[in-house]
Amino acid sequence: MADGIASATQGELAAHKGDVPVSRSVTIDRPREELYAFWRNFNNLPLFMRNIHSVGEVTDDDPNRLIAWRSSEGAGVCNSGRVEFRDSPDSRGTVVTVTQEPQSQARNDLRRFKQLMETGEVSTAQSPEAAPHA
Amino acid sequence: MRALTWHGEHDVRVETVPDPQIVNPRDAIIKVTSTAICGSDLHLYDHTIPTMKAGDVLGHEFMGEVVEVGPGNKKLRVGQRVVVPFVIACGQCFFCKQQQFAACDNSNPAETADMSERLYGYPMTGAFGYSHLTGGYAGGQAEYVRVPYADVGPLVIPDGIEDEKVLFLSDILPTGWMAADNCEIKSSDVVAVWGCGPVGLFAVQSAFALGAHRVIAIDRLPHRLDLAKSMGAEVINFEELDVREALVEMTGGIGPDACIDAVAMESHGFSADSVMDELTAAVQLVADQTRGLRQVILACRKGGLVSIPGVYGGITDKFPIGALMERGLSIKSGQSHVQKYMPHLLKLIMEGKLDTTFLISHRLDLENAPEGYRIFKENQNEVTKVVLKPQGATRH
Repeated sequence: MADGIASATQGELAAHKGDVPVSRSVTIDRPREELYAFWRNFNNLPLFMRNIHSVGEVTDDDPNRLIAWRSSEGAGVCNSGRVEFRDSPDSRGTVVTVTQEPQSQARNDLRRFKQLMETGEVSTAQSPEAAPHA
Repeated sequence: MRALTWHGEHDVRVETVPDPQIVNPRDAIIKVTSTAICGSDLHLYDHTIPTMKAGDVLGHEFMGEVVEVGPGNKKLRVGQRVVVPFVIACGQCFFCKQQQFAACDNSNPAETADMSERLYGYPMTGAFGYSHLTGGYAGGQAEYVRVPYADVGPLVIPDGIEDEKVLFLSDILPTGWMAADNCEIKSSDVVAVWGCGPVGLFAVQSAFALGAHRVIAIDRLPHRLDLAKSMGAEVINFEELDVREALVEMTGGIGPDACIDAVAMESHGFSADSVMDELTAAVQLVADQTRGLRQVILACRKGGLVSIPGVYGGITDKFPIGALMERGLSIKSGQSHVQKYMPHLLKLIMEGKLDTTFLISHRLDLENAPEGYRIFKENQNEVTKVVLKPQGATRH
């Protein structure tokens, strides 16, 4: 399989039910290397993630392709997940797939990551005091 | 500042609320000089759109003066006069790049995107003053508005053109234009337009501007039919004639080449329930009424085109899918990609080829906006469009 090219069958990226963590994908019109580098710099994570206290342990790191993590022992919220970066098979940028519990958190974190990377801002209708800092 | 806020069914009030502020770098703050009440605002007034919250500021057709610009906005300058599109577009996502601005991926905040994703399969695009489905952004029936991505949307208006000539670039003129543009009009075409409200009337005007040979307008309200006639349309009063039979006769047995449904959702709306978990179920319990759309599909000629500017919200259970398929119809629909059409439409207005001022029947102070809603709802024959003027006030 060509390096970094997303599988032609998007079914591989589809959500699974049951005990298996659910994954969610978004296509972002930025190069794969740029998105990996931004995410890998964990100081950037609070810009688009909520409820993040510390990453804990990085369990896998394949540059420009994959980051997997597990929250530290004793952390309030048990949080493990992985993010994969693949070239869009339809030449629309990069497909970013997050597999994480809880899935609703991943969905909204991904939305904010896409907004931030494509527009430079995180969309909000809140006033400055209530708005997420960008 | 003063703003028109929603508080429940038939309960809108002008209240003092905090002034908007710059939140994101590309934002701008607009001091509103003119704003209008839209027919779709009446769905909010009737509380048939879910996810409204008491205190929400309404209004998505507005224009005014730039009074503050965020540090990341390299395009706007304080003092410029702008018309603001009702859809909020980032300019950089897959859809914005194709000029499908009403499909912008990024303008609906993450926290509110889930609701419309459950309803429609993908999240709605952010918009001003139109429930939390579209992001909960404060609207423009107010003295000031925060405009996100203000280097993309707002259109700068040259000096010397009064507000009323350009205000409707914010929504209804591009909506009528796109409805007509979607008809792929050829010079011999006959275009039929159902509904002579503002969008329908602009669709009539646009269809002629795009080269239609004849335009036939359908409604029941005499004053609105007169307005359509004054533009050169032939008219059908559907309380007096069978519309389909009349159209067949008027087109020598062929039927109109393209049909525009500018009637859309009846005011009973598509849901009375605003609890998120029950949203999908609630939507499917109350079907959109689509009598008008059925008539449109049955009247359009074989191989013709049906253009639906809307608005629809939910599910319909009586849709003539067989007629559509067997007669080979095409359907085009959607919220207007306002940003795409605005510059060209401004040019046509400045050249005198399009006029929008004919539509305005009432001009009120913002303080009298609740009365404006009431008369717009109750007297659709004489009240064609209500424009509101905020009073100047110092910003705190």
